[in-house]
Amino acid sequence: MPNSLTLPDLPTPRKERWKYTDLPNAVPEGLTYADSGFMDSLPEGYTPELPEHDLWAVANQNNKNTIVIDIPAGEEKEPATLNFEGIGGTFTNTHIYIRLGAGVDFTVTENHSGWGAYWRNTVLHAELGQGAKLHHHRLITDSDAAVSTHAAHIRVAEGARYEQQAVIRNAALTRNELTADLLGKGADATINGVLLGSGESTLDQTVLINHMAPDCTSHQMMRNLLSDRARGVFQGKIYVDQVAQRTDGYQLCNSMLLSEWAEMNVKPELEIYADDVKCSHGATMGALDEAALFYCRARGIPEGEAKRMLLEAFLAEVITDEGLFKTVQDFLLEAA
Amino acid sequence: MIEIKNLHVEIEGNEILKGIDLTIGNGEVHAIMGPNGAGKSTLSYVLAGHEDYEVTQGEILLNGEDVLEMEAEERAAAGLFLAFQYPVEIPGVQMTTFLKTSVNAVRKARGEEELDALGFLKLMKEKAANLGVKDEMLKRAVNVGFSGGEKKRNEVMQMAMLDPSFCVLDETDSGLDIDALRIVADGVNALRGDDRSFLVITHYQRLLDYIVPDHVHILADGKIIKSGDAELAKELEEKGYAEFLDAA
Repeated sequence: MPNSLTLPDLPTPRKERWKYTDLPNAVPEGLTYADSGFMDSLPEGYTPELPEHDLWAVANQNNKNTIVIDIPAGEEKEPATLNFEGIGGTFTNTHIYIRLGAGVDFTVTENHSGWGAYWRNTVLHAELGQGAKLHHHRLITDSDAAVSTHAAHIRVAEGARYEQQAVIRNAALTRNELTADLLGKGADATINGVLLGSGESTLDQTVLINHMAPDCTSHQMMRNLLSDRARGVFQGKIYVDQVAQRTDGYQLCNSMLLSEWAEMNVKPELEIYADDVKCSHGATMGALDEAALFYCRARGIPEGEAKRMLLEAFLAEVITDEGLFKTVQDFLLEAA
Repeated sequence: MIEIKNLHVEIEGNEILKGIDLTIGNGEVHAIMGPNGAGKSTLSYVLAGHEDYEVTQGEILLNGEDVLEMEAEERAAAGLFLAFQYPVEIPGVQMTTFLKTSVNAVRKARGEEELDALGFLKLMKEKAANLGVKDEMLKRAVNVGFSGGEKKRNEVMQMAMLDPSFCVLDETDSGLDIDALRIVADGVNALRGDDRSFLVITHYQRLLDYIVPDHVHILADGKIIKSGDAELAKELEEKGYAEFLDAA
């Protein structure tokens, strides 16, 4: 445990939501607080209600770094890129606030990388006004010794749409956690994620979608690739309130284990209190399709190239952003 | 020219092929017929280099080169082509991408220049047109959602694109109606030539009405029990396998 940090009690695997991911054990020793460099301040009079959550509690102990993106209705803003670079021995916390007015369509890309053993924690609060669209891309490729934790809380109003594409590669431990509240009629959340694990990393995607209004839709599509002794976690929950009639909620997690020591933990959960809903979940676990591999080789495609082609096809379905997909391809060149 | 000498093959400890001798000269078409379980598909997979099958004795030479020393992809580059009985579906990989990767991998291994996008497209369009393969099919994922006939036409189109010297057709007639059978057979016949040999594996004589072989062999219980010319296939169709099996 880092001795120079003041921290709240960190969640241990005894806590249900952290059952497969041992955060206290993974945090590097001897860390000191550092500045992440973001110094925005919240708009006057804007006091969002922050969630009670383990990672928010950590961030709130030291909340001097803040990013604010505030786009009123009728304004357009170019896509933004937020770069986070970790430095060995440091612990950084960043609060991110995004507020989109009615009808605003905005894209934000986060790039997380770094060197050495550090811990980066970010918490994100986003409010999407009526009919707004937020495309949120997360590229989390932190150093092999790092801990990278992220909690996002998204509030989605009527007819608004939240889309996340996340590519998460290695790090000692990465947790990408998301809660999306679908608060108005016809709101949508589409969450696509890819875990790329090698070495001894633990990669965790935890998603909670709260359907709190009628006619909302949510889709979660996860594709994971784990080799060596990597561990993957997907916890996906769909909660449907009793007013949320005609909910359409969908969740699918397909994982491929490329070594016999790799591990994937999948926990799908549905909690439904409305009676007219369509919800489904599914999970598959498999290895590379040997018949397809042989077919490619019989057509003259060398084994390594054939494997990469098949794995790319497996992941391409969920990651449509070119920049994110480049990371997928780079990973396959090294790991497959 | 392919030479198979005293080939013995096991899978999971069971001997399936028990000493096959077969030589197919350049330009020749041989057919292997046999009842279910005779080892027909095993032979085709072993030729193509499937790793589940263990060759315990014998050798296979393709134009004098030792095939058993080669990986599946090296065999394809050396000129061996297997048209699959059950072509494999590959979701997410577009036909065009697959074909281009395949053609260029083989060209590279043969020391030929790889085709650029335009050169490849020209080759693909030409071969596709010959086999009635529509553009729309080439935009789909490999074999995904293809009908039985489309899958087999696709196999023969790939055969034409890879310019092999020895082709194995594994039950290419299975699952085809008579029209599809004719298209596929025409496609194969168009590829016949002095520098290419064929091994046509089939359960029924029907296919051999369209692809007329120079020699016919009957395979039963892992051995060739009788060889003859195209008439043998007709005789077999009339009398059934039982008579030949009893005589052997």
